[in-house]
Amino acid sequence: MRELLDTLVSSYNDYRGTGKLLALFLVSVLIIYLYKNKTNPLMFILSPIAGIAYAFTLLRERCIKEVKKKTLGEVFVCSRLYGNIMTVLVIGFTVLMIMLSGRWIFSDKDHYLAQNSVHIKQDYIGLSDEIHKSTGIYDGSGEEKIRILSTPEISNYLEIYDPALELLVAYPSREEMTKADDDITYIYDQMLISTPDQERVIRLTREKGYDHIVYNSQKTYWNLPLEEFGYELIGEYGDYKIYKDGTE
Amino acid sequence: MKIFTAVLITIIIFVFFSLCTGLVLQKKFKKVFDTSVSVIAAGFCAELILYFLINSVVSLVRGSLLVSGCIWLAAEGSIVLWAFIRDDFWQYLKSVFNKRLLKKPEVLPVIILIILQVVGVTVTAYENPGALMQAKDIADIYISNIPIFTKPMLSLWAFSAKISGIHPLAAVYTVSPFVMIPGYYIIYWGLSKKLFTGRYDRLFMMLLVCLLNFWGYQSEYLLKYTLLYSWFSGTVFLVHGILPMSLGMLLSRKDKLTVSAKEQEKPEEWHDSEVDDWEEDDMKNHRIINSRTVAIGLLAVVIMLVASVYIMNRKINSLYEATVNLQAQVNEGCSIYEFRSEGTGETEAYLIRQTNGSIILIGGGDKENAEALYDYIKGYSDKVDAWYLKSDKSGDTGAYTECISKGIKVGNTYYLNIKEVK
Repeated sequence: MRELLDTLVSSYNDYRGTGKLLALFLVSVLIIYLYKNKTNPLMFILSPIAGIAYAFTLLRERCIKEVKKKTLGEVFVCSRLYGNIMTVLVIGFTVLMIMLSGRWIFSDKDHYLAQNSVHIKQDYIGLSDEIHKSTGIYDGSGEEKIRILSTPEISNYLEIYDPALELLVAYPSREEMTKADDDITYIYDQMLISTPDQERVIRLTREKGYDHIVYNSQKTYWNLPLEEFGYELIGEYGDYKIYKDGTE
Repeated sequence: MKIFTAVLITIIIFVFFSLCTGLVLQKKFKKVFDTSVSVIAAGFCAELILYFLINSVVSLVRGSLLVSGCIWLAAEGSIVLWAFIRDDFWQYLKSVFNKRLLKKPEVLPVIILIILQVVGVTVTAYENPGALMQAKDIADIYISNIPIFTKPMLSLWAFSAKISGIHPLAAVYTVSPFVMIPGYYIIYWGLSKKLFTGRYDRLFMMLLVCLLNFWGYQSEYLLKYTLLYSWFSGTVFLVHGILPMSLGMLLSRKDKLTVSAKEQEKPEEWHDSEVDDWEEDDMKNHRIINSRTVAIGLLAVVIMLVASVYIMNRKINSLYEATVNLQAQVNEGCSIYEFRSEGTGETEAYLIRQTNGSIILIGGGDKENAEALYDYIKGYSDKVDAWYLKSDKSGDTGAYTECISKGIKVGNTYYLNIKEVK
């Protein structure tokens, strides 16, 4: 039940933003039409961003023009003040609408300070180098792949950074696994938890032809040492351990 | 140092190519590209489209990445050479780089916002795997040296990484922002010049575009269209480059047609007697709201509604599949449950359900817990494979004895005789 609720909440978060930009665009089309501008509002379907910016700029422009239409004399001073207040309100309203239409791009949830120019955590780069050093495979062409089972989080980064590595469960999320078979889906789910079903995961990994296992020993706990299943430890990098299948 | 050099060289190359390619287009389409900004924007788009075409041909014949890149460089190089030998080129350069910009301090906020975006995407990295996967294939293209037909933009950055000797991800995340993001804003700037004559109106429009991109995160599904997540991809080039450019060209053409229509206006008497067609009459009398635009609008709304229904339906179906399999998945794994006494609220027993479905019980407590424990065990099975009791005293075996008398089958029973040490 809790999982269902979590899925509902994340689905709502996934789709919420999409609707807001659409609503903002429809409002913009209405603004452009209402001001009976010579530009056909439907042309902005080609560029909704430009359409939204254009519509709200039009709104601001019209406010200023209305102010300038007021007559001179005592009325003008009040009109100018009123006009300036209206303009500030329109600009403030516009900025607020835009801020509410989406989420801040550089939020802490999705971004962190880059540790290098390739935007991959330095740990993963070090781990990739250690894997090459431990396996002795430095083939620059990438034709000889090192086939690895690892946790999904590490897999995504390693696969993007180093094409010589072929990761079994490198999927950004479960929704992306539409083409994966049931075995790979099972392995993916197991590698997400801290105590995976060791026997079945290893058996399926061997069947798929992946002969290396890389994991963080502080996050993944096997029931039995991997040596019991014929693996040998060939390298370590920090908390990460690199095992190779010795039964081949 | 390598990265810095790569950034500098890339900026110089792109700027020169944009200027020269733009000049070629301006000679051909003078009325469409009538300002220096629209010329540069057009040149920027055109040079990338030229690479895409070359990439498509080379990838179809399984050619090398270096071949497609060198052909592109050669084509652009010849355009630059052609431009250099022209007399009007240096005049044109002077008009583009005139000092007027420095006398307009009001453009500074927009320029600062653009610089902030470039710096922001360069110094921060994604935590979001979905966003990271946009650049997934670039390392493969770089290593294999084969461009991908459907990923021309990534092929371009892989090529630039190859010739500058940097990692392809560095080309994407550290070099490309300095070229692509300002390029897209030049296109929007050209569009603002067509829409507004007033300087402050254009600046305000540009400010809004910046804000829309800063608060641009819409959803996971729109990551590939979001400028500050996927500036290096072909999809963003289409959405923030080609389409706004096309809009600008349409606006120019519309203005041209309006001017031509005014020049060719017929006398009223002729028009009243000749117009029978209701659609022409409708279009003439109602420039904005006429049957054609209403039909196009309705079609667009219907398409959006259908797409929304389709997406929601897919989501609902996948949620249903997840819930259908949920119980089966829960049952497959080994699970531990605790039994708490209603009276004391303390944990009296632990029930372990193993992967094969068999039950192990630890503890149980005295007779008072018997009924509740019996109902608890029955919820999982009516057989306990192994029951571990703390001791053989009645305070620890009362519930166990009652459960057996009620019909619970027990395989093996063990007295642990645990001694508490304080």
